[in-house]
Amino acid sequence: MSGELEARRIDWWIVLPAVAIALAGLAFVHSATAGTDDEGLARRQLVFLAAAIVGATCAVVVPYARFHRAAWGLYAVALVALVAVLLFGSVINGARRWIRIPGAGFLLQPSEFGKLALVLALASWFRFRDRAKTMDGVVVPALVTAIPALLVFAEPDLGSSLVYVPILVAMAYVAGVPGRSLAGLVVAGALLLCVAWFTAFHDYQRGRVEVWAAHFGWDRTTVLADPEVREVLLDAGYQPWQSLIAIGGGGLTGFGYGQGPQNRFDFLPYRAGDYVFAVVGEELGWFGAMALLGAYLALVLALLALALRTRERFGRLLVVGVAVWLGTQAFLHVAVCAWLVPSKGLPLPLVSQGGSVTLAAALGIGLCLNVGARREPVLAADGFR
Amino acid sequence: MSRARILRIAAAFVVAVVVLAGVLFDLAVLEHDVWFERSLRNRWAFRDVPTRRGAIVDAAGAPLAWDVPGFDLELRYATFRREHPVALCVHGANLLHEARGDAAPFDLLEPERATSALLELLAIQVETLRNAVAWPAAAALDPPPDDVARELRFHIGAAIAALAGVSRAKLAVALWAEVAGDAGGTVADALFRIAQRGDVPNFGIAAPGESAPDLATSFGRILDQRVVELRALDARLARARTDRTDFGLFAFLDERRLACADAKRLASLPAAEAGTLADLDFWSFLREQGIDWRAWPDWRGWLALDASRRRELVAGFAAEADRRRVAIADEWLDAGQERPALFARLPDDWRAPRFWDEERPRRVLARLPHELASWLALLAERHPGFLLRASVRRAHGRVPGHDDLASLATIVGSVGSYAPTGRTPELDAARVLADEADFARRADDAAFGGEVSPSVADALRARAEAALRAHYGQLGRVGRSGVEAAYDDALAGRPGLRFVERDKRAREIALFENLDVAPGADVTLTIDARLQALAEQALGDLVPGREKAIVVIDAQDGDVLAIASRLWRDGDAEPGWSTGAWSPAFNPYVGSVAKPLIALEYLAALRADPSLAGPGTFPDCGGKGSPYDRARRLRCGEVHGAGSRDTVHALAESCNVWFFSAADQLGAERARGCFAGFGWDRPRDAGAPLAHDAPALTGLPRSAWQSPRVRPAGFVSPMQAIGYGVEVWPLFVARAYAGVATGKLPGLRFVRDDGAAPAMPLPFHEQDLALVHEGLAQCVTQGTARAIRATAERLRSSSGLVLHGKTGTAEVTADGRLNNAWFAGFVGAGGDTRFAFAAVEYRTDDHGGTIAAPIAARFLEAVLDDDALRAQWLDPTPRGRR
Repeated sequence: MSGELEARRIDWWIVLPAVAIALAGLAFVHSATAGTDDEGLARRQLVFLAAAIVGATCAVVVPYARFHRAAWGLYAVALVALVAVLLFGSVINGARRWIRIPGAGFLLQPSEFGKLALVLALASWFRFRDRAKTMDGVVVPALVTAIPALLVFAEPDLGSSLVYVPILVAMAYVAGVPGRSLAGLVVAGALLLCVAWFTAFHDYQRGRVEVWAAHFGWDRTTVLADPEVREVLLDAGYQPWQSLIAIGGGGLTGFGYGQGPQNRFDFLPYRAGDYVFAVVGEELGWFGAMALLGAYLALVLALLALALRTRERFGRLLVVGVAVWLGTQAFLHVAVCAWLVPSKGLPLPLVSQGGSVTLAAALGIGLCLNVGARREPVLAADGFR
Repeated sequence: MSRARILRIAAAFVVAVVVLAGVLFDLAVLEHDVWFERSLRNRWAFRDVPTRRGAIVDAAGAPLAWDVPGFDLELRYATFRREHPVALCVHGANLLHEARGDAAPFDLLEPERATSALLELLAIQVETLRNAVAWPAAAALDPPPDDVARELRFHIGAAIAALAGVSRAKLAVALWAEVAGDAGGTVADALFRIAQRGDVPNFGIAAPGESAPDLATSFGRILDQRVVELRALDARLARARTDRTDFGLFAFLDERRLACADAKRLASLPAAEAGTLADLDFWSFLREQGIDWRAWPDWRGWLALDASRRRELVAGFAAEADRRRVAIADEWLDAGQERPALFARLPDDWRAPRFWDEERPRRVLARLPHELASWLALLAERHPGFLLRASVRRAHGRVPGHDDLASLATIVGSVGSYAPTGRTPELDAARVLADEADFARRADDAAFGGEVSPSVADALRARAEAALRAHYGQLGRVGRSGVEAAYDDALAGRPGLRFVERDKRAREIALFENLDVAPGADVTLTIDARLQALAEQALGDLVPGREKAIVVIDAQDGDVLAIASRLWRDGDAEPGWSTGAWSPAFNPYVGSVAKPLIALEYLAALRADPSLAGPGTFPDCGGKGSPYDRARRLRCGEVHGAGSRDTVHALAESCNVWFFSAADQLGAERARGCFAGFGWDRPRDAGAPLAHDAPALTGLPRSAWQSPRVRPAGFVSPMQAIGYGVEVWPLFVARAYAGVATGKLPGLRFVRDDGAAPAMPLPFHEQDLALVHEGLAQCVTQGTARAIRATAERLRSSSGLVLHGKTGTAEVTADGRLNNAWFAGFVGAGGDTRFAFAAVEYRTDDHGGTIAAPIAARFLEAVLDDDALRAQWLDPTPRGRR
């Protein structure tokens, strides 16, 4: 049933951009934390990367059919972890997103692994082509997605919960869910968001959205003359505004590695995590930002190309899910830094400091490499036409 | 189908990247300048460096005014409130009690109780700090807090972080986690757990202890230490403060605490109502009450209002402020005062403060003693809210025999705060720094971000200017009067400006550019403080209602050596008597001190035109009984008989008939021309200080007396010849007498560095000068000034110098009851003239010879008594040979 691993079939077009992104991440985590209280984070990130390589290697070596079989189990574990985090998680900055691993000295963020578990679960669900055409094929995946997404939203982690939705939509789309059903999904999601706006959104989340919406009406050259705006920019608008200053101030070529003043002088908050792309933009300029963005696009396109090459349905959907997950999260992160979307805490996979996001992304990529590096197994599915 | 969908997804990602690339291009390239400037705003700062104002010294080098650098202590209560552990504990515990429905038990008058407040805060259960917990009494608070739990978390976290010296943010995060967790217990327990876990770097070290109670005790002890330091500061301030013996730091802090509550209440007002606050100032209020204060010449227009009306207005303003819930300090509204403090800043700042702004630093003590300043500097980090601000004060010397500068104070003048608007030359200094050339030099500097665009350079220039303007607004001093004003350009110097890179916490990281401080230059006056002291003594005490002055100049070069006066200020004026405005009831006519000038002019005219009637043809003087001209009401005070035909006698005895006759021969134009030749018609040639604040120098209070001038209205030509209608103040009289003495009119000079103006030769023959000198010498020995004959004889015997002088007694009231009594003259003559002087007492019932001449005599006697001064000024050796 399972195909043999063929090293020569490892897709280096996936590995290369992933490695490049990871190394860039390591460099910019170092740049963002050098000389600060968080100086040790770069070293920790190196450890996480090493762990991620080991994890990715395991994900490549283990026949992915086993992941297929374990998909729902992993999904269940993820749900348990997400519930556990709500019950026992550590609170940082008012959010309960992490579980302390006793004796390990670090925190685990289940929502990152939840995305991978969701991809596996959805791939497993959609591997039967006919399911996509049925009501169950839409409702069940929607529920499968909504449960972890809502749990993540309750942490609260709006950014991560929003990433779950494109994964569902993209995988359903590739699986063959009709456009009408997809539109229904999107409308339902939008309605859910509206209800959540009035009932479940926190004040600070609403505040961020309101400031974000208002900022499109500002004349950026004269806006600081308005005292109210200045007040806002010291409060809800502080982080994205400082990020804009970093990216805009970097210009075409940037200030140089380690030289970005927004970074060096501590004006840019959470710059090793949620705003790491702004550090890249400030220090390497537009060219550097484009290089990183290009690397992500290359990774996503390479993954999608692999999906195109993969005939086995579970593997194909798995690769599409990972590609959409990583791509969406990366581009949302960039959009947050450019204040195209309301500010929220969303790490840049493989770049932002953090063990969970790095390990989850590496596992996802490892699984994709696994799919590409094997003769396609015959799974209990109705195959592709 | 599936492949196509994957391709569409790929295409969507490509589109997304293209969109993102475009947005980023817009940000980083098209709008780069805007964001780059914002980046500069974040990290670049222009920091001013105060300069030293030059000193003013007297002719002998004795300092009269100089700068003393020092420090002021200010309190920014909002910072104290948010960051000082004592304030945090007091406010936090009060909030806790108020939210429970109790009265607030703590204040800053008893800071030792802050420890109790802290222990109360540490003893509350962490669960009660959750946002969802209801505080029933909180809604009734005024103003109601947004969220009691959040406020309490803030107060506890910030206080403990300040006491432990750890990151407030990290401790807040850790505390929040404890509040949200299930471990429960008291806040002290939660903090103990945080310390045990090491969540916050160094927290465990800062708060040692084996248990939560230990931890609470530890923090209590640390807080006690802060209180002890504040107590020590209070005691030191009390010792250092000489102006207010009742000052107490804790009373001051508590007063600010209460005002802070007002400020909070203000902040809680609806926007519409708060908007009306902008209109609340005293001046708007007056206008609303129908009082057009803009028509007032100055704040004294307020006094023109009826007293009851004034009280009514102040009370009305207070009520209006109260209605709008604006806190205005009582001291500003003391209706019992003639000049309410609302006017205190006028006329420079034509606005009253609207309400206390707690963000604005309030001065606790100016000019801290150095040891106190250094002690405070060491404690600064432990006591946020207290700001040590570099300052400088102007110290003044004293005239010997006085506690202060006496009359010299008005010569030296004063400095005041600087109003930067409308005065731009100083700001050019900032432009030098912000010049594009300076930035271009740094184009290769990576930290500088490469080439600086014109718009960024403009922004930097604007910021540099703003920094310097702020400097001038806060620390800058400008000469307001006297030499301080006249020589402000030289004295002021130029402040420095440091163009620095800073981090988020305003710590200086790098120095990019530096505009050097240019200290002000010293100014050396011609005035000799020793002579000045003698002049002050000679004037004696102030006699109410009278004003007197004496001016002494170096007759050769016009250096002003002493200038003393006794002023009767406006506010002291008798009812109905204006000392300022021109009035027939009071005038500064010089009277007969003008006669030597007319004599010289007449003698010169006679020499040039022999057809003029000579003195031998003048009529006899019949005194009052037999006037010179009954129709013109011209008469002499005494009967001089044939003396009216003797020039020397006429000068010595001040015979009006001689001068009426001479003036008739000269004609009105030539008589006025005579005065002009002695500089009595030009206000602008008297040296720079005179152009600025002449009233201070003249001994007269108002600018009406600023310029020497001839005022002929109401007086026919012959009357001008005896000094009626001729307004000249003493300095110019002294200069004219220097001209009479030497035959050359010197330029007046107050400041050595100016260089002496060349003396202008006067067109008088030596024989005529000698004749006039003879008359002036006889005036002292046997004429109208014979009261000081003894001084003249002492001068002649000890120094071989002849004292020349002329009295003047100008009637200044219609009934002839009050006079301006003058005495002007010089010591020596020709090239050996030493002093020229003029003494005057206005509105006296006495005469020049009996009241003004003694002033000059006392001065000369005092110089003779002083060995050093006598050797310097009245040595027998002719001046030219020394």
